[in-house]
Amino acid sequence: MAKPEYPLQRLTRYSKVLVTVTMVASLAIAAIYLTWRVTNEHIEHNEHAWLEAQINTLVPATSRDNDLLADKISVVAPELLGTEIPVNIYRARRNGLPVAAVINCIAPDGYGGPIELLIAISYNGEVLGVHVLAHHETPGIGDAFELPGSHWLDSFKGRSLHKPEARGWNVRKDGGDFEQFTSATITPRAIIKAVQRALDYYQQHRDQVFATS
Amino acid sequence: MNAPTTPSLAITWQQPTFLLPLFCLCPLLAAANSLAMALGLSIVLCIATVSTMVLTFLIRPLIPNTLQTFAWLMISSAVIAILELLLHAWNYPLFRGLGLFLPLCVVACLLITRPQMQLEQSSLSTLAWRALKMNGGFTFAALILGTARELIGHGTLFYDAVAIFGNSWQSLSLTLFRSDMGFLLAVLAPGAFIGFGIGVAIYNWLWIHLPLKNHDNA
Repeated sequence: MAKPEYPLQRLTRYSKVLVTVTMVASLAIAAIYLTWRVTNEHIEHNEHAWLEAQINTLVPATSRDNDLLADKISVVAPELLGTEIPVNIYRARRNGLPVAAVINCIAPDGYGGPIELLIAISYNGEVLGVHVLAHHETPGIGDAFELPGSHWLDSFKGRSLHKPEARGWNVRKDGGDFEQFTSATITPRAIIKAVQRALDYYQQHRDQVFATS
Repeated sequence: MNAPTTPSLAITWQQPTFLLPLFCLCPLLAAANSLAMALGLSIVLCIATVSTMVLTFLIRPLIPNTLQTFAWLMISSAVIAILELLLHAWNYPLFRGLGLFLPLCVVACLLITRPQMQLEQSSLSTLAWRALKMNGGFTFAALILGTARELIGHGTLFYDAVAIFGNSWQSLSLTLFRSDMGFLLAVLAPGAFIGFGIGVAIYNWLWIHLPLKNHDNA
């Protein structure tokens, strides 16, 4: 058996442990912090560029001359935009005149949870395009709007609140004007309804949306 | 780990703890649904394990025996956190592709570097070599699984390689047959498990039928 330990010995043993733990932990934290400092700008730049690329597919960069990502407002409208969290609306302008608004809203009733959308609406209320940013639908269902060469989201182009009328804003199965895709109705229905609500919001708040604060 | 000639997958299955290898599977199965993704995951894991090994080895003389495990855990999780930041900054497509499974790599990293904790005296090069060999096993499995799943599910090879590794990979991107939906099962999670099961079956068959020298070590 080991010799009995005197209190002082035990204390030095404990403090050794304490010092080592602190040292190792703080070294690790310092290393991570340094990396964060170095990469931070790049990361923000990446996120920025990614969002801008998504928006550019909807509102071509040539049709506007403002820095769209900086020209944004945040609004809260849980009823129409699908979330309690403030929703970003990016404004595209050309020569100071409004061109389009891009609403980053949510379709709350997707099959696998909320679907994050980008909806571009021209100044006169026509849909320029819809893009799905994030979703949790069954893999494969998402192919209809994810894969290159899938056109389902194109069916929104040129639509507006009265084209079709309110009844038509649904999947064909429910008597609406839009195709459902490959055995799925919940997902397309959620997206269709979300676009309709976004148009509704836009119509009610157009002046606020484009107001320069 | 006691028989260096044993293939790496077998080492994984000989570990007394059952859960660890299963967690190790998680990123492998989830992220390896295309060849490029599997390759990316393997490279990330390789960097993580080798640097964890080297750092743990270097810091070892400074740490009291009771805290070796603690230091090892801290180092590997820090390494993964740093790698995650670096990928987020410099390889955004791969970062988005791996997503949630990048932090989970820490378990795979621990599993692969674990043998080092049991070796008292060893040179740095031996340890690094061991880590590389075990990574080889992981990479091999990931590539086979990735190839099979991408081929069956998409009919392509390296279809997303350009986004992840840059334009020089354009020529490697192959489309073997055009499929609108593909054989979906292969890309989905069940496909990963079925593919993995087939892989293990083939492995076991080879293990029994091929005359290996260290047969009784198994």
